[in-house]
Amino acid sequence: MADEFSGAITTWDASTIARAVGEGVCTAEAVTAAHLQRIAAIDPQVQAFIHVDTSRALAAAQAIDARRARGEKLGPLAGVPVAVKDQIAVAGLPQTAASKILQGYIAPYDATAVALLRAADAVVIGKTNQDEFGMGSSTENSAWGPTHNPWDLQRIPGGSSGGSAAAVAAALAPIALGTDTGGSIRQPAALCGVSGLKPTYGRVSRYGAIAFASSLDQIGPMARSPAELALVLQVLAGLDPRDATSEQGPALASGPLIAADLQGVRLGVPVQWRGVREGQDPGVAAQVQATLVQLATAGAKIVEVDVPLLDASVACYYVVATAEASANLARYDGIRFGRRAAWTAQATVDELYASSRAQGFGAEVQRRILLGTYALSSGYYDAFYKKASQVRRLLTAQLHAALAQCDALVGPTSPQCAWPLGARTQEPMAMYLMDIFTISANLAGLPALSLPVLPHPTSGLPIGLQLLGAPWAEWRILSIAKAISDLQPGPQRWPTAVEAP
Amino acid sequence: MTGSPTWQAVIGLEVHAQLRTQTKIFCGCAVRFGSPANTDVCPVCLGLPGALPVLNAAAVQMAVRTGLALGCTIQAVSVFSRKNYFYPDLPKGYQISQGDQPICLGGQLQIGRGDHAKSARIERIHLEEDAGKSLHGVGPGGQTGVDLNRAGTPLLEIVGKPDLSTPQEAAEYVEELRAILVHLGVCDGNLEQGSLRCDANVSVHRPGEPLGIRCEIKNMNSYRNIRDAVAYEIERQTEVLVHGGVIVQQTRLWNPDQGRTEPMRSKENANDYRYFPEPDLMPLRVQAAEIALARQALPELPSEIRQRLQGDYGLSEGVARWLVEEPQRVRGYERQLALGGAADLGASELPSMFANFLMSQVNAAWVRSQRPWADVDAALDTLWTLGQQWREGQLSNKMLAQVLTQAFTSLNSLGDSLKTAQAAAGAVVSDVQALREAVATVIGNFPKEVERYRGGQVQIAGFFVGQVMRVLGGKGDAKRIGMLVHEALTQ
Repeated sequence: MADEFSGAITTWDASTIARAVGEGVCTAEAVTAAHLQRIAAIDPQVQAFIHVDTSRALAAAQAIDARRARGEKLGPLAGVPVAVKDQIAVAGLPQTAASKILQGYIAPYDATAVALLRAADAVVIGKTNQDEFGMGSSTENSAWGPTHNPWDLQRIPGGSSGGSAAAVAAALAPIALGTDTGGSIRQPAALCGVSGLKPTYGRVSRYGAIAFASSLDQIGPMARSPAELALVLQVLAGLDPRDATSEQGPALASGPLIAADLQGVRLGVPVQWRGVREGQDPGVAAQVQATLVQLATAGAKIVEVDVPLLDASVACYYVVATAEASANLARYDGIRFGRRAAWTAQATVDELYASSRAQGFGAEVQRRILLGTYALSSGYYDAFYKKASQVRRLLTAQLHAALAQCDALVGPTSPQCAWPLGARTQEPMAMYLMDIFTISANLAGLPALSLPVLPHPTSGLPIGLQLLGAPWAEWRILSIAKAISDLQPGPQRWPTAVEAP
Repeated sequence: MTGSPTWQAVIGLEVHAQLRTQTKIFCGCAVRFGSPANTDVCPVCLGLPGALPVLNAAAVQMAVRTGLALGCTIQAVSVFSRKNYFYPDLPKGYQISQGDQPICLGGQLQIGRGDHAKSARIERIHLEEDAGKSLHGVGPGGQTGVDLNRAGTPLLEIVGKPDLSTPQEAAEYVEELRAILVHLGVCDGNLEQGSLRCDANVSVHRPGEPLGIRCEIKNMNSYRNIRDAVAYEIERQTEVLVHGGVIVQQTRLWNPDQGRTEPMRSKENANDYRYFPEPDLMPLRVQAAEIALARQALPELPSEIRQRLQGDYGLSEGVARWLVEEPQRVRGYERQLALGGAADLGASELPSMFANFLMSQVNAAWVRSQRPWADVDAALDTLWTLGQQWREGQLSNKMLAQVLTQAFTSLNSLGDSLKTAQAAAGAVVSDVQALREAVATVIGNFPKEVERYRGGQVQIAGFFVGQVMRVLGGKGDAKRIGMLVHEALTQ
């Protein structure tokens, strides 16, 4: 199997790197150095990273090599570089969630997900760009400037975890962490041509991830194949005593991911998703349809399911998510950490809050705080927050019922491919509608992933297919995703707008 | 005191009790008083980005115990909510509390004595986290600092129905509630330090008419403050209404120096807290089995102990109440009775004598000394002996006071100091011959008084006893002197 370790190190996937480092084929330091070099060369065009932690990444890699030299057995991600979304805490590194209001804040502790990655001997190489506090679908709402799509540098990478998606796509890191509140892992994965998984709510600890909407947020992996997602999920999953909403859940399989036998697979297509016309790129719809035909030919059963409340999901989501965000973002007041507005002795503390928050938060974040505050206000609570919570419960029941009839719901991840930078920044509603396929998984707490399928027939841009599973059924949808990947020759492997690794 | 008799006050109290858990309600930081500022803190109670709360099971158990002791219904499912407001000592910009689904509902508290006994209803009890403290003027330029050691301390808020009608009842309500909380071991009950805090909702109306507009009074950190503040507020509102004015609903602070309540800035009254369910915590479930276990483990409650002490030992209501105020006090007292070995304490006067001795003589010395009661507790055996000697006249009042004062102000163990002080005080003068001489001297010195006595003013016998005691330097045997004075005067 000497061929396994041929080609540039930056083209290796995580399991290959872990094996190479574990068996002494190469050092963790060499792997880290190779990725840091590629970041130095490529990232000025992509701008996936907000912060690259060169010295400590090399030191961590050297420590892993030293442990191997002492004869210690290394973890399942030995020497694997990992890019971490800025939303997630890494001890000693800035954690700004791409917001000016957290300028200067250094996280004093590791998020549980990061600690688990380190315990598996992964190497954190840096923090990636995103939409501010996870609010956006394009990574343009970043206080530190946009990230560029490695397939076309004039286009957005998707969001909010756009930096992580672009880093994995451009071979700046084999794996990355994202957070997903309404599609923030899956949609940028789709637009950058990589795989991304939002686990079941509670499967992965949220401790250390800056909360956007606590009942919707999940941390999840982004990688270049479903098998890689599975490898990382095995490391991340489990009950965390620091997160009261985390659960042990039914165990994941051990060992590598094996493709599902498509003969026995039933895939449900919600009629409501088929009915989406507004903002839907026909090329995306056509390639998703072509993939379904391939799957049917390979023996999968494609069935229609009816989930009426999917039509209400965007409205429901933007009430629940903004309401929770309005409270979650209250702590960013410029008093204890982060950026404080200039303070004159005459100003009251309320005025200091107001000016710090007005200067520190971007326009989209302010819009959502206002929406959420309104939805919770005395006299409006019942009509907005309470009603949305009821819709959410009913939608969840409808999704559970649909998933009782099939292994997964299937459809496009995003109605469109990556759009040009700046094209939608003045139309928040059009931007919100881009989430139409992804947000129901968050409202119902279900696992969902995106994997790249046939590229767009005219632009050649990546298209993602979404699989949405029953609670705790990550392994099932991952194994189906692997079967689909195996079935298709696959889109072009490396992005065309940057130098190939 | 409460204005025109045609106006009646309606008072309801909200009491916040800091729970005596080892750690905070949502993190592992220590709960304690007096650490240097911002040292008992962590990412969770500092509200750092990404930190999450995890509920402390011990706080839930204490809430359940309290609910059961107050006759509440423990809810199988209760829900934490976020109460949103901005304040520098509130790290997250919201307080985690319980809104419309608290852990305990209903319940009652018995207050008052004798004819004034009444049952005040409890509306609800809920769990929440305490905020930090703003420390004004601590910065180099006199700026305000924030100490977050207290942030995340578990609080139990006990909300009473407006069933009280006098300042005295309000104080008694807090006294009785405090006794229950300290006997349950859930709160140390220190009003001055703020581990027990009380807000009062006060309104006045004419009987038969709708309830008046209420004001909430804060900042009352002693029973006396509670009585004075509520009395002032009733008076104030009555004055306004009598003169045809209108009460403005507001929060007012008790200013003990000025002896009046003053309105808080009106902005702080205008909050919309935007409660909604806390998504970081699952609904709190309490199993029926846990409730049953907690019920079995409930200790004897203050009212039950008082009743037993009064019934078994013939203590007065006041003495029983004083003893039961502090669990350590009553436990030590009962332990000493057992040790004291009176075979049949029920029929003996010893228990009642000892209780009175503790409450009057010992307590006075203890209050002045500022020692912890634990010192008294450790010296009860010596005090027991001392009390009996005093009662039997082997120790005069003056000698006793001297012994107690000396011992309590000594730096050594109280028991040892008592013995040393008693030895130094020497024995009482009970030699009849010596006493007779002293009595004869006094009678010789006060012929007018003797005449008055013989003329029928027998109540001035005490004067002669006092004078004899003075002659003997306060060391006379008071009983014998009394007998000898009577003997001499009636000769």
